[in-house]
Amino acid sequence: MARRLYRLKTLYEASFELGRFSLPGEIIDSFLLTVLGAMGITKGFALLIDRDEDGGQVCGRGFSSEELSLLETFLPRIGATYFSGVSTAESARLSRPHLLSVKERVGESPFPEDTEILVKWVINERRCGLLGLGSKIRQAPYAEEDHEFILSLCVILIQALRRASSLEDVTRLNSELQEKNAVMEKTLVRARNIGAELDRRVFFLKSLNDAVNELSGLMDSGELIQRFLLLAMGGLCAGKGYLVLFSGLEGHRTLALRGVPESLIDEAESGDVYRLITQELFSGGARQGEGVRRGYVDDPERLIRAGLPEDMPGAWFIVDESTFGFAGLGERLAKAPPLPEERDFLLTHAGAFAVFLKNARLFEQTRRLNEKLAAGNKELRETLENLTRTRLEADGLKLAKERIKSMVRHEMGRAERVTLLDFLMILGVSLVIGLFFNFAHPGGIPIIPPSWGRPAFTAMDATLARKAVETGGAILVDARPREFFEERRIKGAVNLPPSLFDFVYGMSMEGENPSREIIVYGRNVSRYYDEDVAERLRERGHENVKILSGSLSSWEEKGFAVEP
Amino acid sequence: MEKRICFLLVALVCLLVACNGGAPSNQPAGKYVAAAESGGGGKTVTLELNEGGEGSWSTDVDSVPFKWDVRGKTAILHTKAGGVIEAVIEDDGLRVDLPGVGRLIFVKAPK
Amino acid sequence: MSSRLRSVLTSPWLALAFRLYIGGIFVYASIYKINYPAEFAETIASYQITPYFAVNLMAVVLPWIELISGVLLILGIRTRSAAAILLALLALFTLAIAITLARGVPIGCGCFHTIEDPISWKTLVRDLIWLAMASQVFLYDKILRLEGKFLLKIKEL
Repeated sequence: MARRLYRLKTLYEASFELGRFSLPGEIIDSFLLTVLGAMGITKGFALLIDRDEDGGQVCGRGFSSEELSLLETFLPRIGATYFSGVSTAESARLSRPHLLSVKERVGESPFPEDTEILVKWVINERRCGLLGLGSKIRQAPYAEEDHEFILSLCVILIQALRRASSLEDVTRLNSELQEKNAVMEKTLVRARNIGAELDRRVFFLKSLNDAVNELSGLMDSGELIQRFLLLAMGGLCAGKGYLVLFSGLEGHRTLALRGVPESLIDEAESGDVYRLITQELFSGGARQGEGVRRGYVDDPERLIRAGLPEDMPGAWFIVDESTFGFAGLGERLAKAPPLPEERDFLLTHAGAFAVFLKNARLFEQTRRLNEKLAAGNKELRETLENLTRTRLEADGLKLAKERIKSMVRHEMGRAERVTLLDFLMILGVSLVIGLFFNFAHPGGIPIIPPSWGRPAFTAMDATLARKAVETGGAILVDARPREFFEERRIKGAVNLPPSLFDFVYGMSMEGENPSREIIVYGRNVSRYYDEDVAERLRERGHENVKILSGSLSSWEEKGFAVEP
Repeated sequence: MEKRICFLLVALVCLLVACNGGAPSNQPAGKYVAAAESGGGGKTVTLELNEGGEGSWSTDVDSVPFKWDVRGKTAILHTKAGGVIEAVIEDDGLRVDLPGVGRLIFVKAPK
Repeated sequence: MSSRLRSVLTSPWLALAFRLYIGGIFVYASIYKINYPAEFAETIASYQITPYFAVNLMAVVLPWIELISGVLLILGIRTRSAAAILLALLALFTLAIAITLARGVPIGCGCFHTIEDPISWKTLVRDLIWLAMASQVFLYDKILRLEGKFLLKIKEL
């Protein structure tokens, strides 16, 4: 009974004791002591086998160090031999320790000679162990109670070991976790860094993209230059910048300045800059690729030698065989030399700009050529038009010449010909001159017959006339010219032609009675002599003037006297 | 050569014209008086022939102007009304035959 | 024989002579008529052919036609037209004379001066000869024309 009590107590204490330790080594060491003490055994060893590591721990008391080292060496074999059948499913079953009889050992044994009892236990599929006990002090064989006691102790051991193992696992996991945490933090930091870098990259790429987009739309080289400078300054956050471009054989210089006085760049001659560029080219600082040679220069000495301001590093570029330039940027916001990305940006930007500039110049050249061509065309067209016009004129002139020649020939023939125009002209001229002369000349004659304007004279019949003559004493006047009068006349008539009126009247009828009846006769188709004379008689005061109707012929018909 | 002949001809014609138009011989110019003979009615007529082809025929009541020129042995009197009177020159006098009047002998008027 | 006569008749030199003669006659004749239009009117009236309202007009215009045509003929300008006009006038006169002769009216010709010999067949013949001359001028006149001088220059063109 005391022994049982003692043993229970031992168990109780052992569990406490073992619970104190966290390391398996310490645990089995303490256990061994406990077992050896409680059972009164002198020699004992405990093996902890880690199957995954093919290793473990050996703890022994009372055995020699060679034996212990032998055990250590053979740990993997022991593990393989005694625990080969252990698998996950069986671990639950085999958690109870298993006592092995010494005699059950097979073949060569790594165990020390004095091992009497072997207890095998399994903690989990990984860990297992063996307890080897020597003989008791008293040299008594192991009783059943001893075996049970040992087994119970082993159980406690197993528990403790399990706990230690768990603890170990936990600790290990903890440290692993911590490690992993540390790693994750580092990774996070790195990721953030990368993120920042990506942002920068994105920024530069975007700037580059925008810049390229903007530049690609421009076709005017002046605008291109200005835009490029602005974008470069923007991309690199530079407060001032300049771009100097040399083109052509004479080194014609184009300048673009922002916040930089011109005097600063005045020094830059095409020769110097070219030398700088060639130096850079051969020194390997150039970037070859996409066909545009360009490079970055920030060495102040070189800049000074080229005549460029030393505080504004930048990029040089070659546009084509005769055109190259340098773009310098200064007063950066960051107050630090440009990062590689920024340099990249500038260089790529410069490269794109060079390409665009070349394009723009080609375009301008093409446009100039086109204009020249168009002008040439226009000139050609004008010349053609002139030619056509001249030809037309020549034709027209030829036609005119032909016409003139034919007209002239016609005119020459005119002298041979008789035309209506001639007649009309001669007659017309004669008419005009005649009338004019007539009215201007004192001796002119009335064109319109005067008898049309005069009141008519009373006509008298022949018979009545004769009666008047015979009875009334009327005078008969023959108004016809003398030839007609002498040829034939009325008997007793007086000849008084109107053409000689003044003369004859003055001579013969001067003192005549104005109221005496006068009968005038004599007219023909061409002349109304009787009317003329009658009018003149009336003018002279004779009121009683009459005209013989029918003239001489009516008188003759009546059979009246006629002379000669 | 032809041109010269042309001009000569023109000159000749002009000369002919001038010849005829002007230079009447003013031989019978002067003042004449006639006494009526037969059928004159007893009137005295003064016939004046002025130099320059003008003249006048004057009676007591009336004076008629006319133009005159000489052709051969006659002086032609041209009246305004278009009549023509022939005055035959004979022995320093003129003989005029008026229709309806008769013959008139004009003698040079005494100065 | 007739061919020689023909060549003489058609000779331009003859035409020239006729031209000068006819032109001269008409110019000379026209002077008197221009100076004494009233007398010329009387002469026209005495033919008793022209209607009374046209007599004075004719007396005023006809002499000028004669004068201008005569001058043109002499100078050699528009000779054919002038000759044609004078031909027409001559024809007119000849006709009038013929009519008067047929009527037996004892008047003067009136060609040159008012007081002339009365019309007789001699006058008619004279006029016919002039008519013939004028026709020859019309047909064959070629040389000595003032116009010709001017035209020669153009011919050179």
